[in-house]
Amino acid sequence: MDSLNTIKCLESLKNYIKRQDNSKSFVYFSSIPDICKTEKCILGVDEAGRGPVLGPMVYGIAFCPKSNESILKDLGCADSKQLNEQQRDDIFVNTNQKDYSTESIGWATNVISPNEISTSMLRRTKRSLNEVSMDSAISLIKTAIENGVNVAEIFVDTVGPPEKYQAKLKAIFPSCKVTVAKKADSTYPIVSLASICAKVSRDHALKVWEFRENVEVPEDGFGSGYPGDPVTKRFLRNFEPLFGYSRIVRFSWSTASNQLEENNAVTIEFEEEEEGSEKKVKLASKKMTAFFKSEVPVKKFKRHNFFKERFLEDVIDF
Amino acid sequence: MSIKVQITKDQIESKDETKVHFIPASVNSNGIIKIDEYFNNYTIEENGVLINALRGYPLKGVEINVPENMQGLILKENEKLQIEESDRVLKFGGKFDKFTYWNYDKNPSENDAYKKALHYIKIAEALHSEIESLDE
Repeated sequence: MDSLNTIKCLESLKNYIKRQDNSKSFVYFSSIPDICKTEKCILGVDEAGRGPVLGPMVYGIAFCPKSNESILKDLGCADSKQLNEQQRDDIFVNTNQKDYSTESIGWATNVISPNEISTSMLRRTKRSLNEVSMDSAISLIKTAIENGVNVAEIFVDTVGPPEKYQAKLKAIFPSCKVTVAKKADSTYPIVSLASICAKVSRDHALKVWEFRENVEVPEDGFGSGYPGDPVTKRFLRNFEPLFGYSRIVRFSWSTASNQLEENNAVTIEFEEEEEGSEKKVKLASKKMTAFFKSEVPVKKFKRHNFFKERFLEDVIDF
Repeated sequence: MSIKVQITKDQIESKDETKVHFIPASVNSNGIIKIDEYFNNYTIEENGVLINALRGYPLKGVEINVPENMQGLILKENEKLQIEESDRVLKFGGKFDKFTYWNYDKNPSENDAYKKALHYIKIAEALHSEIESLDE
């Protein structure tokens, strides 16, 4: 595989991300070990950066033969929330460099850009973050299977109620055993690894973020992106009057839109979806009040439909 | 009250084109904005449709030429000088022969309000142009 397009260490991870258009989403797949195509594999799914108002949300999957599951422990995959940044980075690097790992473990990420998160959630037919998330997870698993990974068991970490999600995944992947659980990343090492790949990718995506808007990032950075973080709050206080924020920000977060409103950004009103012409219920008999009106109705000038349909009207004042 | 439009020959003949965007939103303000950094450099083309977003709202657009034999003009008015009952003066603010038309999450088509409104140009021409005598 072209070395430029292979992520082997944190440096190549950064370079890979830098080459992408940060307003768009992308998918990265590691090379798939041959053994994953023959042996029955377990596959873990987890996400990083769901809550923050800044930066991408990253979905990650990791897979390895069920028979080799113990190497996940050797790599140090444990409850990913218990690991610090350095430990996560180390596990990520080892996963991609140690022979015992690269011979049996594969992983992939879907980096969903903040721009895409905003535009999905603010479409005419709104797409919730849950839908975006599920679609991302499903498409990563599908691609793994299409590329020959012999997926036997799927483990998914979820924040919402697991039952519905589990039923949905079972219907899509009938030949796989599916387990959707809360805090799966602390229970299943393969989910922990998926979580680490996602988290490390998100952290580095933020590190190499290039602002096309020439935004001056303050010395203390933009914070964790979590709405409660005072550094993030301060970062959001600076904006362009019309466009608001740079595209590192998820405009669909109320934290972002509230800040714009509170600090008197220009108000913008989008045309709403036409909700069908309002039809009044016609009554069979005359209304009571009709008897008090003059019998001869004042003829109102009605514009011809040609003009109505074309939104043409007289303008006297502009 | 009359409205005066002040345009010089130099202005109308200048080669400088102003980049104009027709957006599906109303903005209650006037001012200078950083459009190149925040908007123009994010426009991409997918399957012949321009894609961008404004405050997270997805936009789909297309380049449209102003109708033949017509000229796009931007007219500015000094609102501070406006005194009631006095004449209004509109000054030249720029010219354009094409602009970018944007819809909110909808592919641009012949059914768009702008395109439909233009039908009137032909109708008006038919209604108001002088006709040859019909006698013979």
